[in-house]
Amino acid sequence: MEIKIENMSKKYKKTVALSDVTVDFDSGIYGILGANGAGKTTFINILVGILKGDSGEIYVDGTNVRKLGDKYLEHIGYMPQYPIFYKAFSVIEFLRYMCVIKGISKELGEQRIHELLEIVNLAGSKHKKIKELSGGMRQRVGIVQAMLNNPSILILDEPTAGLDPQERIRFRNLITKFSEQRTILLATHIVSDIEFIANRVLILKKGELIKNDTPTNLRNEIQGKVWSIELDEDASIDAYYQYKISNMQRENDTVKLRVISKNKSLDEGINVVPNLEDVFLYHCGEEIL
Amino acid sequence: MMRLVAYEYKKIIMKKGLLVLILVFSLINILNIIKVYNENAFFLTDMKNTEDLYWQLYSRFSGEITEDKITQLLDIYTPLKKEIADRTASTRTDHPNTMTGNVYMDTTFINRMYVNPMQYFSTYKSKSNTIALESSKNMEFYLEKNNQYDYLKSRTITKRFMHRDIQHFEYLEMYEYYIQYDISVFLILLLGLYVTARVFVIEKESEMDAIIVTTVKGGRKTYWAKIIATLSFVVAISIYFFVLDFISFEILFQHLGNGFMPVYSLKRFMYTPLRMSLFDYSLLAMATKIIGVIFATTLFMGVSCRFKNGLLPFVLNLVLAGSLIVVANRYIGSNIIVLKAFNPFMLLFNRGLYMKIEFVNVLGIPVLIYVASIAVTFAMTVFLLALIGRGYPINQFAFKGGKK
Repeated sequence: MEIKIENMSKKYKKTVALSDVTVDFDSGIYGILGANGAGKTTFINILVGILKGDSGEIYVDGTNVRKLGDKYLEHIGYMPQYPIFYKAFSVIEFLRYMCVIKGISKELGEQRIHELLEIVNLAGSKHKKIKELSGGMRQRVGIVQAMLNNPSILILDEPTAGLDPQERIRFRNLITKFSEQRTILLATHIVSDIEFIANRVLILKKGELIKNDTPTNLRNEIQGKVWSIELDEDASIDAYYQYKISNMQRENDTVKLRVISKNKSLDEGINVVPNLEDVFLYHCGEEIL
Repeated sequence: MMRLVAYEYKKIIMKKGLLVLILVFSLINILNIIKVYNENAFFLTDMKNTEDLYWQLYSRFSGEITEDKITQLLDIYTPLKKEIADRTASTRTDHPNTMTGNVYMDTTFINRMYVNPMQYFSTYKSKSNTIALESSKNMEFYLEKNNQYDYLKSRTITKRFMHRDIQHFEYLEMYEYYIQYDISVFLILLLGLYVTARVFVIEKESEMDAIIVTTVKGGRKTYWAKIIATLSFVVAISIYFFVLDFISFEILFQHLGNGFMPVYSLKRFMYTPLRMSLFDYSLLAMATKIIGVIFATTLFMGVSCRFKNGLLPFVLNLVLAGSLIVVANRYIGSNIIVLKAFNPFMLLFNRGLYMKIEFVNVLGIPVLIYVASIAVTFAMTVFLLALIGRGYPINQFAFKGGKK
């Protein structure tokens, strides 16, 4: 399924949330990176129909989604930021409810629920109340509800926010598992979520789509601009305010810095292979620092 | 749709807290009815120890009113009245030739429990006929004067008061108090407040609003499921409380089977526009109250749908309902028609709309006040539902061609 977004824009009063975004999506995982307030959630909210864009069109396989109406929603699976769900519902009750509002027949719904609960390893917890679930378990319920209608487009907004490292790894694996024959859009500001699973990465900055490429190409773009340097404590503090630092690592009496710079600014710096976090910092650094 | 409604029931209504509240409110309601009985019932207050006597005489005078029964009753009452006329009769309370032990007590008892009601019942026909006759004369007068509005008004009065009659003498004490009983309405409103505070807030609190709006049935259908679930609950709970009221009054006042009497058998309904039995009136009053409850609940939903938590709208709705109830109660028997006809909360205390024939001028046509009030409430409810629906989040792509 091909999704084409053309000239999507959105303003909140005088603030530009999204500016003339044009992008195509095919099957695969698309990581949408951006600092907080970069426009990721606005982009997703317009894509799923929660918000109305000021301008722009969305096409699915060449058809404008306005012509598709309800049919478009049948293609979508959506998981918002920090879902809480209905605390008093059990997992299975909640998923049955989701089947009803997604218009899935009872028989098919039961089948999908049980399949998906097995995949996300929640079959044993299906009778637990939502309020009894850990954050990670609740996120897994979130992805199950999004997958119930077997969507062609799975949209996940900050799906790993608040999860411990183990749950984040588990969640990443699930996303990879669900990515076959499907478009997955994963908005996050946690770079490691998409570093190794995304086919393409989109970087949003102040509402503008500034990058749309494969992680390898994005890394290659900044080849020679990432440096590693070891400094003492005081010098490292000075460097912190002078350069874009993507990482700081304390080693005995020294501090190892990972510096993003177009030039070799520090004599002792050693050129290192960039990672996606460096790419993110390179493009969005001002917002972070 | 039914499955959606069932899930809304599960989300909003099927809560242990609500069940406990209903049980507690039922108990409060029954205790209140017992209090009404204890404070007002003839045989527990003014006419203590006369219950047996009343029922003894009741077998003689109840049923169809005949000349013979009236004569028999006057045969008892007239000598008593004469005996106490100069206030020199014995004040003994164990007088052997009396029914209650005291001649004054005998007179009061017979007068209040039999003579007065019998007189009202037996003379009602002529009183209502007089009203109908005078009104028909007015019709002719207004026709001559080409006054269409008053002509139509008189025509309605004539029709409504013509051929009225009270043919039976029955014990109606229960209805006197039952039709004035309002506590259950307050309890229903409180339950409505409790439920409506959660209807729309639950999705905002659980962050489910974003997910729901992206689903096929998440927009208008979910909205209507919420409305149907909430309103069907308040209707069901209203019926439950009104039936509980009726049964409790019936049991306490031992009043089974007298509902066939016309509603104007009650003196306060002497000028009612209604031509129906007391039992039918009870059903009409219940139905009218339910229309009022539906409006109130819709109003509560209208307020709460704008908020992200349940507490503030609950308090706001409480204040709003309280104010409108105060206004409704203040003008219940008033002649200020506008305040009666255009306050939907008046339907909750609707005897004020049914007690006497009153009209509202609608574009030159006299409309009975209760018809106008029900119509206004219905229109306001529909308007509110449309307004709430407009504010309910709908997916931008839910309709072909984009959001409508």
